[in-house]
Amino acid sequence: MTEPLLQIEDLVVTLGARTGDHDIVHGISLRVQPGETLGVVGESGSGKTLTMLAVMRLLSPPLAMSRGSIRLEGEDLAALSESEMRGVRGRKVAMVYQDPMTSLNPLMRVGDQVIEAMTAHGVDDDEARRRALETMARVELPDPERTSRAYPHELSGGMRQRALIATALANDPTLLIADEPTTALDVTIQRQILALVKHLSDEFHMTTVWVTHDLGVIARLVDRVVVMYGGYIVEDAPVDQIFHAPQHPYTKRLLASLPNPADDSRPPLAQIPGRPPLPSESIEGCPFRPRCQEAIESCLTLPSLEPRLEGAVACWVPPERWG
Amino acid sequence: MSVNEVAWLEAEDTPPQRESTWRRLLASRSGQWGLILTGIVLGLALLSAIGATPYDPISQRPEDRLQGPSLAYLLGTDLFGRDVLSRSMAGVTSSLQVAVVAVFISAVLGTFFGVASGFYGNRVRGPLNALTNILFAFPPLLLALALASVATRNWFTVAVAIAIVYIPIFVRVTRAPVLSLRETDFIKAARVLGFSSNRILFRHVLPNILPIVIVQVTLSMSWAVLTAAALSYLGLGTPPPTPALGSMVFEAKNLAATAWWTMAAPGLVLIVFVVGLNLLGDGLRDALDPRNESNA
Amino acid sequence: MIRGKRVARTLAEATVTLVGVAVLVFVMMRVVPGDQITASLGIEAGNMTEAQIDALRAYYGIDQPLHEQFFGWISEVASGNLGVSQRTGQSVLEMTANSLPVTIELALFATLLGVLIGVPLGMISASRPNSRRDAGAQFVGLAALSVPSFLLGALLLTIVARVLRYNPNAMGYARPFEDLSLNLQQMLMPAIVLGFALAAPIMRTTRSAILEVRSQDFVRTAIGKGVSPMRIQIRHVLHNSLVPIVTMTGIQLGYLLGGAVVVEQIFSVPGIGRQFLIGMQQKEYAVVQSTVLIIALLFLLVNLATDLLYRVIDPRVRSG
Repeated sequence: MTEPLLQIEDLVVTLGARTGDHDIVHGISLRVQPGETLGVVGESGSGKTLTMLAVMRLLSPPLAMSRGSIRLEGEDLAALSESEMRGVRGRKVAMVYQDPMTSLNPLMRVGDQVIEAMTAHGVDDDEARRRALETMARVELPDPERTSRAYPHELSGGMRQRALIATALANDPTLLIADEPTTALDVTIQRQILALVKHLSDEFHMTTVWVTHDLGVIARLVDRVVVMYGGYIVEDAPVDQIFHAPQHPYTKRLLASLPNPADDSRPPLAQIPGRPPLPSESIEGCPFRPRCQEAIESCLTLPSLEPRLEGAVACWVPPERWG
Repeated sequence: MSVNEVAWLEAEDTPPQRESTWRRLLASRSGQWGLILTGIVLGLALLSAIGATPYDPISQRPEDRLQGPSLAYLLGTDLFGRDVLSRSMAGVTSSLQVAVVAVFISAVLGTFFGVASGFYGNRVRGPLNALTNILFAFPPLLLALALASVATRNWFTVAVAIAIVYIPIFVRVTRAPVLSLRETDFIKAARVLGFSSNRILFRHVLPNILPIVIVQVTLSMSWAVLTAAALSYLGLGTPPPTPALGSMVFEAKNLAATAWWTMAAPGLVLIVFVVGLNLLGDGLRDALDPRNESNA
Repeated sequence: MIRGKRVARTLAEATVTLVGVAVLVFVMMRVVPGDQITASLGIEAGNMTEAQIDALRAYYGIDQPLHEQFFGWISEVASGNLGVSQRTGQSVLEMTANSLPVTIELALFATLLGVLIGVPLGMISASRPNSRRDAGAQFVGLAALSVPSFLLGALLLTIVARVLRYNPNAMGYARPFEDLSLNLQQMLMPAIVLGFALAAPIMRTTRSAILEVRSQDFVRTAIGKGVSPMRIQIRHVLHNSLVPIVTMTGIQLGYLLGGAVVVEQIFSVPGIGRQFLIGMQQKEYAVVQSTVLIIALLFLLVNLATDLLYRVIDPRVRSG
């Protein structure tokens, strides 16, 4: 059993509000093996983005990681000093963000922003310039020379996202975290970007984590899926199992809500009624219980993540007993 | 138009609660200090207004001139033997008189023009814009100076001069929210449903811009006090023998090296007053901020 | 294409405003009770006969209808004749040529001081919002805002001149190329007074701009790249905060032209503010009218310059 590249144990992220502290991520644990592509799926408010920000130690007050450990290649990230962590960010682990328009400095040329990712880690200017153009070509930006001199607002949405990806890949990170990188883009561009990242990830055997609210997006991208709800992990399984034999009612509802043009019997975009819990709301037992059709008496007690089939699930009601 | 529709429409539009605003103001540090400091100064002004000063601010007592602070004269005496404390108090009263009148005039006229410009649109807005730009093209003090010098000097003309300088601020500050209010659903619905313009203006627009006007009034008060003092320093303010804080500082210029109290007293009173007004303005602005509504 | 149109529109508005300013000034000066003749001649005016006064009035053009006077004056100004001072006989143009550079030097000094004090204080304040450090910086800012220029000037002059016995401003004004050292010394105190007043709003604007920018996504991206805190503060946060800071500096520079009137008087600096004040006290129509016109023009120029500066700072503005 190889050592996982990323190992999160019992992570708790807390929001310090005026009315008191609220936990948003409730002690989750997950592992990512080297070279693996993991998908983290959940609605907004599920805590998936916060978990990744915790990995990068990008949480700022009032949010903070109050418990748990995060190990990258065996190294405890929480124990690092801020300047040591700075050496890790952008070099060993890099993140691509959701909205490329707001995630790029509007007053800085795009090429300089890619170069900056390298010079921050000691690469000298000329080398950085050369590698920046290389990386921009790798992300399939047309005419990297000219594009590098452009400002973000002069580029299209797709090109901006490619540039953002270029800044993330500039130092050949061991771990790439992509947080909904296509949500802010056109559907056609979305597919291009997804294909691009998959291609790069395969080509360089990069360990990748995809964070998204859309199961359909990652169907062909990932090896394994972790489903999050209300700050808890409710299911963790290989992608095939998730799609063909979901073990958690929430996962099943997520699958049902995917648009399927081939299946006329299914209503389009079946929404799950209700909404995820707010940080200030404390729900007794399983967080999905109020919206779950399979809920039974036992669900008033929080289920723990238990192995089942080839993955793990946190639910008292196995699929054979679903209505 | 059924009674219910009217009630619903008017209920849709709820300006911030006055009671919780007051409480928020009292809770904030700037609000507290603002109220305390302005309260002290206002208290002094009130005492002076009813004649309750230790000595007559105007009468001279040459035998007692340039005495330092003592039990007899709490803040000392000036070149003519006048009690500095009493004069400072009277000075505050005259500053207040000028500032209140000036700000009142500019607030009323400025809000009127600003609301009209935002509400009634292009025919009114063009010339109003041009006029506002012209007034804005002068540095405020310069304009006040020029205006104050053209008329016979008394406290009222000084107040009018300052008022004219600060009208454009009120116009600008009230026009923007009115413009955006005009586009809100309930105003549009009200017009479609045939509410008279007056009713819309008085019951919906004015209450919503009231907080902004209040904050601007407080800020303008502090500028007005400063401008009035600068004018009287240059000899263009309220004419003697009424004491004015600015002219007191001017007179003290040559004395202050040996008789520090002649400059310290009016200066300190001025600073406390302005600091208090600024803090109050800040506190009010925070307390009235609609973003705070969600936390209330 | 779009740029040209916008620039043309701005210029057109500025011209209209300038004309309006001229009208306003003209009207104000004419409302004065007691006209220029009696004011400049003082007591002697009482000893002249009606006919003599009329003759003088005709000479100075004061007997003509108002609108003719106005257009007459405007055409003179357009051809470069700004009038003549009754007392000294000196042309206003010449007076202004001497006094304007003085005020500009003072204004530049004051702005430099104001920015050097205000921006770092604002950055300190914003670095740990709502902390004691922040409260301290904000208190200094509030004090600066609340102490009137004339008081600070009078206080400074009194303390320095009387107590420390150092008063470079008591000597005649020295031009920079005549005696640079004395000139700088003479500029120091007035610039401090004006700069202090300028620093307060600049500090506030810097603080709120930085807090706003710091919460934006691209700052998080930069941190996520492992960029050093110093570089983030300057290249990402401060750079993007410049627009509101520059705006505020431009506005304050305008107010400075007004505040300069008082400060120039206190420290005997022969700038354009003092020219205005003396002209007003002596009811010199020509001097005051032309001086105010020039100051308003300066003000408009500062606004235009600020506008142009935006285009340099923020490339998004360039594309219209």
